[in-house]
Amino acid sequence: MSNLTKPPAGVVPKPSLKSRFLSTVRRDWMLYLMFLPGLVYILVFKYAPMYGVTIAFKDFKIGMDVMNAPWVGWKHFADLFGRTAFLRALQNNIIISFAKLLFGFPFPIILSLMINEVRSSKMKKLVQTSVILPNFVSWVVVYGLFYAILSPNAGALKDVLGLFGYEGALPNLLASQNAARTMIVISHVWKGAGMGTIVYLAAITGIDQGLYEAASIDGAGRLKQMWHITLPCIRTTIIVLLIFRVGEMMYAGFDQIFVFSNDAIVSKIDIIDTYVYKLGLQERKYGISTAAGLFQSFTGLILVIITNWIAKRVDPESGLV
Amino acid sequence: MKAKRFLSILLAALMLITVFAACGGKDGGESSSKAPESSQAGGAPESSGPESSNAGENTGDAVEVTIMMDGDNTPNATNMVLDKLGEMTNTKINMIYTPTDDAATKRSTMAASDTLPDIFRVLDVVTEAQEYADAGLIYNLAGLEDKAPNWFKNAGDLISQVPANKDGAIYYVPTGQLGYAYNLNIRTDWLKNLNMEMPTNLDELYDVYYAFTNNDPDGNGQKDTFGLATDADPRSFDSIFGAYGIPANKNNILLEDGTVSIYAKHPDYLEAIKYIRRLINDGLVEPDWLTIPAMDKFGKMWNGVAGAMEFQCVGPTNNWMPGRYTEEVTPTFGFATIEGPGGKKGVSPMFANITGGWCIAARTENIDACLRIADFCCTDDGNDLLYLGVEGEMFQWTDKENGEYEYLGEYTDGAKQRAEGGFCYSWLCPPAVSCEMRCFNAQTREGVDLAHNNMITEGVVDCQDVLQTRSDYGSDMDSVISEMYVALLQAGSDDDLQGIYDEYMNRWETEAHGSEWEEEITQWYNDNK
Repeated sequence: MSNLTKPPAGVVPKPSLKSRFLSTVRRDWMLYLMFLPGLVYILVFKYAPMYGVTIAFKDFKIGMDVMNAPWVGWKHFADLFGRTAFLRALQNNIIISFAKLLFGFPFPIILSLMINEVRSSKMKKLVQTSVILPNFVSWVVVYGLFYAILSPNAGALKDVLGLFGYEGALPNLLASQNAARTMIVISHVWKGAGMGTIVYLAAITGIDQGLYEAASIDGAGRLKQMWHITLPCIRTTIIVLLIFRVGEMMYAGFDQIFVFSNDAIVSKIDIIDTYVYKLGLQERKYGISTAAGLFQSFTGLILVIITNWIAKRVDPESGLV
Repeated sequence: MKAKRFLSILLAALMLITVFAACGGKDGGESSSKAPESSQAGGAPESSGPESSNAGENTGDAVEVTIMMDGDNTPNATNMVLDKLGEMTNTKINMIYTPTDDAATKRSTMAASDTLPDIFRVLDVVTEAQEYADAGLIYNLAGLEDKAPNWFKNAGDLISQVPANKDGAIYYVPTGQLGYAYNLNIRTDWLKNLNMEMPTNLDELYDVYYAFTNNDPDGNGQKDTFGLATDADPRSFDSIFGAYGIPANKNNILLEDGTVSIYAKHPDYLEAIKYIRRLINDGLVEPDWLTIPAMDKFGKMWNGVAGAMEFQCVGPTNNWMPGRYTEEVTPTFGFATIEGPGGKKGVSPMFANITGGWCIAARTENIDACLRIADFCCTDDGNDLLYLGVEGEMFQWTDKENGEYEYLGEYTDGAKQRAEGGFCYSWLCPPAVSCEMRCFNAQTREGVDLAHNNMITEGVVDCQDVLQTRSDYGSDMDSVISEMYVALLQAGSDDDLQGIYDEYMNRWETEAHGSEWEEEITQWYNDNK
């Protein structure tokens, strides 16, 4: 019996998981020390507040202790899905998110491929800086810019068209139901595309230059090199970012929608976040708004899992887990 | 290696400190606000009485008091008026000044986290004040009347009309102000330039707006003016709705069948919409009206772009005069009363209301200091300070009895005066008759009286009680009505209006629970009329 448990002579016993972990920590203690604040941050700001989601199942009112609020089961969810305004917000959310994904996701990839092809380093830096700059402008300022450009009475567009002799009335694109979602997507792409290029350009920089040289010797032109080398080499990055983006699909951009919204277009761009804001912060209906938030998060999680599963099926080396 | 180790520890420590610093609240610092035992959840706090006071009055130290106000001005964070207010009340004022549109949200957030400021205004006296009172977030001031005699005397009997002030409790102190009704302010200098008279009916009004837009009323040789500066609020066409007998300030009206409903159900609502559409489609309304920010709309008047605006006359003829206007010659205004096809006329009513009062947070540690501030602000001297600025430095009286004054030096510039706190805080616990009212020029006084005399009150139902449907679905109902209004104004042709109206009203009645609310408010009306 003891022969079964004791290792044979000369064989070093395999250390336990705990001792392996401790020895790793001892060896790389500096790295773990650096990791600690991030862990604390996640626990304090991401996990601990999760207790608040119980409000979605409780009759919580201002001044109450969340723990002592009475349980109401699925009441808030039933109320939420009984509200047409919420269903409209959900529909808008899906349409706007999908449009942003469709146009906003490939754009930074294309942009980074184009920037990568710029040979003059000064020009490259100039273009890179220029396209990243809008990311640091707040949505309030972005709306101000759009208003200053598109205002039918005092906008820059009117002046420009005036130079070409056009003096007719201009439509108010910021108050047009037909243009509302387009304006949202355009401003989203304009503001976010530059920042998105950073990751792709970093991935492109890591590609072995020998591949390009070999392809060049084999007679591949710039387009073929881009198609057969650059894109496949950054495929994993693209998929990871796609999964992240899909996970955020239920969040269609509160700041942007909030500042662009007005009574004329709210029916086309009101999303779950803005509806929750109205219910939760303006009307203090914390139960229903938490239920909506929980629904958003849960849907986002499912989307991430599905996308990850698809990514794994297509390419076993990609995906998150 | 040592340096590397040291740097690692330092960096990690810094990051940890940052994380925990973000968790820290203000309570540990200088703030005066800390929840007393009586403010815990589950019950309203009892009046603390004078013996519990630790205010500066007793100690001689200036205690810090946090006040939250809303407004669309941008005073400096510290300014002469706040310094003076602190000096007069032996306090150090920490002012949180938010844009009006964001105030309710900020207040709700602070309420949810029990960080309400010491003194704050609540506009929604029905639902919000009641919720705060029920939650024990606001101080029960009953028994403390002698500590702020001016403030309580000013509110008088209105205090007992507040739903939250039940059973002798005082959670909410109304200002007692009537509020300004709207005027149709029209530029008389432009009328004179065009040889036109003040309009009295809808046809004449159209002619005036047409001439303001197309006949170069400012004589600069360019087509750069419009008839009317408006926004997406129906009240910016108040006198046009009034000409059809409709009070458009989100009022409830009694319909012919005895039902109480929203103003949009008035039988002539679509007629008024058709008239407004004509103004818009003919280009007589400033075209940015749907998306224009409030201050930009005012700017259209200040810069001589528009010749008329529906707004309380106190702005165009008093507060903006003359510093806000940029034209070489200051514009002159008159007030029009517009009669409709059935001989109706008027503007949305303002009631001697309880809406727009002030509360003190239950968590305050300085109730005496809060009451001192409220009481001082509710005196003539206090409101003079908040409205005009520091006497002798920012303004001086030329005839105080008659409300005549002059600004001094750089404070003749309205922007400078407001940056130093003048005007911006004048609605902090104000007296019913404020400095602004005492100092009206003759024309503004006439305009305010005209607007009040012109209010539509017949058939208007003013409900200041908590109605459950309103509380549950109020925002959904309001959204449908606002969207409908804009959709009607933007419709392709007048023939489409009825269809759009029916569709939205159906949504309002069913999806937004408007029918349930109608039943509830009609019942309330029948019980209380």
